[in-house]
Formats: sequence, structure tokens, C-alpha cells
Amino acid sequence: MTDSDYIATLSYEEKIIFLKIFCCLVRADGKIDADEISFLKNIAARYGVDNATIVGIIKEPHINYVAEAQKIRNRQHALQLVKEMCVLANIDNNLADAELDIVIDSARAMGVEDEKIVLINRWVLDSLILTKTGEVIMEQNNG
Amino acid sequence: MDKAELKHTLHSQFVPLAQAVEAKLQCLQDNDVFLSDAYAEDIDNYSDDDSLENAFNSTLSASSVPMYQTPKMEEIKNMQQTPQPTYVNEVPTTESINVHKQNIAAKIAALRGISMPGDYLRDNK
Repeated sequence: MTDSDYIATLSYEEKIIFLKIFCCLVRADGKIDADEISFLKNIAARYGVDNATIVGIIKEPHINYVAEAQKIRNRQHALQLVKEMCVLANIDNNLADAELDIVIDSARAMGVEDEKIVLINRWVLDSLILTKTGEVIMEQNNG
Repeated sequence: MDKAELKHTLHSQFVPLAQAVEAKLQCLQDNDVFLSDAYAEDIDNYSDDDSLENAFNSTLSASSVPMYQTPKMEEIKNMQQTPQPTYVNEVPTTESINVHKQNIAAKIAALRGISMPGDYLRDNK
């Protein structure tokens, strides 16, 4: 299932849940870098959620991400959320303990097995490395 | 798996992206992207046509069998030794052409009442 496939199957409420958990991740290590902001903007655009809603979510003082994750009952949606969380956690040059807490607790709240989390994380890392390498080779990045 | 162990596993998978990309680029630059080391070594081991042919055929049989089977070297050699198809009439040689001419000359001479076929040939060179 491609990104556009799974997004089309999410309800508006599920999209908001996803975005809330992403915002928790972004705030988890205490710093927000350009890649994370870019990820949030990009994903909000893909989800069809306006910037004002995103800003409102980012500003929300406390989000109970476990309670939010428990509302995701669809297995495919749960796996996609784990995947997106792994992307966000690994895309910067730091993997904070707090980020891993959010990934693991949210995944477990959705009934995703630990072994599956490990596999998805490995796959996401490999994909990110290949994508970024391709960008360098094809001279598509600014670095 | 307890949470600490899972966190440890996920941490151990992590490599800063910039570092991983640099390593990947280096790897691509250092290695031959078309042949793995093992495959390259296999090709070097085949010193004659037969063993390469055998290896090629055995590789084919290990994977899905194509509709077309590469003919074995023996079959190819047999085809090369098969007598070439003969012409309906034999390919004429110079000698046979001369004999043929003489025969024609003799017939013409006979028609014209010339006693020596050689006369016709001499007179009509």
C-alpha cells in the first residue's frame, strides 16, 4: 500500500490522531529541526489538513499519545502510523529516549508487536539511507 | 521483549543519517555495481568453453527453465560436421567446364558435319 493509498483510507479523526502523535514526537527531544518541520508540513499537506490546525496541535500543551493511539483500530493504519513514527524519529541526527518511548508506547497501544516495530524501524532506516543517498547522487539536496 | 530491551534494539539500529549516507556513497564508489565479488570469481574460474557452457546450463536449470534451451557444445560441433547440403548439379570445376564445352562442341560439330570437335573449338576461340 503506497502512502497515497493509506492516506485515502484514513478518516479525518484518524488523520488528526496521526498528526497529534507526530507533534509529540517532534517535541520529544526538546528541539525541532528543519527536517522535522519539513516532515510535518509535508505530511499535513498530504493529509489535507491546513496549517492553522497543525499549528494548533503543535501548541497543545499536553497530548496523551497513548490514549490517542488506542483509538486506531485498523491494523493497516496502525502499521502505517508506526512507520511514519519511525521516519520522524530517525530523520534527524539524534534518536532520543523520549522519542523511542512514544514510538513503543503508541505501537503497543495499537496492538503492534515488538518484533514488528523492530522490522519496520530497520526497513525505514534502510529506505531513508537509500533515499538520501539517491538525493546526493542525483544532486537534489542542498548539502 | 521488555521495553528496555526493545529500546536497546532500536537504538542499536540507529545511525545518524548523514553518516550512513556517506558510508553508502563510499560503498557504491568502491564496489563494482554490476558484479558481486562471488560472481566475478566464478567467471575467472572458467578457462574453457565447455566448463563455462556447463556452468551456464546448470545455472539455467537451477532457476526457472526458459522456453529456449541453449544447445550443448557437442550439438553445435555435430552441426558443424554435418555435410553441407549438395547442389542438384555439382558445382562445376574448370575441368568439368572444359569437358562440357567439348561435349557441346562435338554435338555441334556432328550437326554441322565437322569431323573433329577440336576443330570447332580451335576455330571459335
